[in-house]
Amino acid sequence: MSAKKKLPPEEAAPHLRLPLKWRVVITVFVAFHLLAVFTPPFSLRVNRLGFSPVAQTMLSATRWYIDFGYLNHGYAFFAPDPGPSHLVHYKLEFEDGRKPIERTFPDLKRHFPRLLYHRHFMLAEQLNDSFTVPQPPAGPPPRREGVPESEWKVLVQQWEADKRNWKEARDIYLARWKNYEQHLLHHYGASKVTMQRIEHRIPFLDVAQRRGVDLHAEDLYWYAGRDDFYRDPTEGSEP
Amino acid sequence: MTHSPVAAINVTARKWLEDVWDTWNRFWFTPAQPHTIAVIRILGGWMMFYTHFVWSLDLMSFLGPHCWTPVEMTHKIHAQIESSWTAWSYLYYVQSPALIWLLHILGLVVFAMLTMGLFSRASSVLAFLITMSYCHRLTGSWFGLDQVNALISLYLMFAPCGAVYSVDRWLLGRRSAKKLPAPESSVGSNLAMRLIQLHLCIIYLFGGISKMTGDSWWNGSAVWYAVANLEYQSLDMTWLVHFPWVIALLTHVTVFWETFYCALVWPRLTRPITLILAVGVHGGIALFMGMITFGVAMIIANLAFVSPRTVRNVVDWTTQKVRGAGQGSAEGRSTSSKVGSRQTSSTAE
Repeated sequence: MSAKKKLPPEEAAPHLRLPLKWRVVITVFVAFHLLAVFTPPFSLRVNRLGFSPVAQTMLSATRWYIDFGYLNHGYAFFAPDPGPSHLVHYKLEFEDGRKPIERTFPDLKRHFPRLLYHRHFMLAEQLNDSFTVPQPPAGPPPRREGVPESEWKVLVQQWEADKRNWKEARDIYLARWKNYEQHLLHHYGASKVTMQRIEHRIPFLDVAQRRGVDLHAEDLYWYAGRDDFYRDPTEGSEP
Repeated sequence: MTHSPVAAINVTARKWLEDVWDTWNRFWFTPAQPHTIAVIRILGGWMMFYTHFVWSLDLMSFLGPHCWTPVEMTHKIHAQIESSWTAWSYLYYVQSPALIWLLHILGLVVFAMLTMGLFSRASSVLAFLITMSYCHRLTGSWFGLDQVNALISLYLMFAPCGAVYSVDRWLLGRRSAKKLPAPESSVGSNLAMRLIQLHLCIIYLFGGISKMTGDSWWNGSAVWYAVANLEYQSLDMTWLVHFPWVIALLTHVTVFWETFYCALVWPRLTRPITLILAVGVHGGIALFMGMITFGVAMIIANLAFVSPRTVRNVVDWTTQKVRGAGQGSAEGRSTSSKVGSRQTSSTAE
């Protein structure tokens, strides 16, 4: 068997003209990069139902690069199911005698072009996404007869972790809410603002087939607080 | 002479590994012409320019000191999702409205330069850094468009994206005494296109898998819930309610196309169908669901699957048609102006 003769770059096949060391360096980079692109949607998917140590390892190895390249996405467009949309209604009151203003965002009439409307739509959607119930998780779990203390302690630790996560999420939601209020007060020079989340539901296909389509129907709009919407009866005046 | 089974397996394995390495080299390192990536630069650069221009219409509400999502809030959100310090933005450090405006205008200039292909290498790197900065800072109002802008800006950096259809090329031609040769093929162009292609495959794969966990994507009603969403709707398609069969067909085609895009887009036979479906799905999102920018940006990214030769032929054909039409109308104008001048002179006589 004869050894392969090394050709000068200009005589090599086109895909071999780049020096080997560069091809190896690029190969390592490409493999790492593709791992970083693959990891966020993969870990989001597998961690939905539990915790995968494989996904966690992949995530910790690539996290810095994922954030640098803005690759942290699940790509779950309209998934698992296309759902209702969310709006924010607000009422502004003024001390200088101006009449109160009541508006909703997003609003096609005020937000133009469509991309600007969509930015406001996302503000409303993300406020709703970050909503966390005002009640902390119930607990601590009662100690049942026959359950070893070590097992009970695990349950207590789990409850404590849930409570910490709840508090963190609830704080973010409240902070976001406060920011929106502050922005509206400053933007309009108002003295008081009252916000309320609205969920605009979509008629079921079979119902629309039977009754006809009216996307503006009043019963499709669910108001936080009024309609036991996500179990937050305090909303309407404050979250 | 007979070989032992171990030796036979060794030979086969070695041959297989050599094939893998050769295929890998062909896939990533075969030089490609820059025409496809240049067109992606023009269209993607324009989309980045437009995306950031729209922030200008209410800039202080999104970046100013009393904006919807102040810097501290952005940091809290990043902390909640455990972002690392590399989720960096120069906009974290700017509070003065005048400075925000200045940086914003400079950003728009960079996107315009990228679109035109002026100082393409430098402007592609700057465009990436600016895009990242806006994405990281504006966590409260992002959506799919920002992801695609980030994707395109990232990969344009790897390629000589201004080697053709650019001001850079035009300037080079002006400085050179001889006619410029055709632009060189490069590994960079191929690398950028391959990375966009694989990134799209991952996006669609997980898009499809995510949909497969939803009941409405299985029972064939998901497209109804997409078109009957008033806040997304830009063109009323709710008349589809009378055609449940069409709704179900569109739903099933979307899921299967998205899931199997990563396999069907590679063979020559299925690639055109896969790309036509991509244009159909994203065109539908753009026209009917109010996300014109997102739909168009995804179609721009899909251009990475169109060969540079095809792109060059289409651009050449279009240029010839436009020039022909321009010359025709110029000749028409010059003829009519001559007629006009003759009439004027005859009238004067």
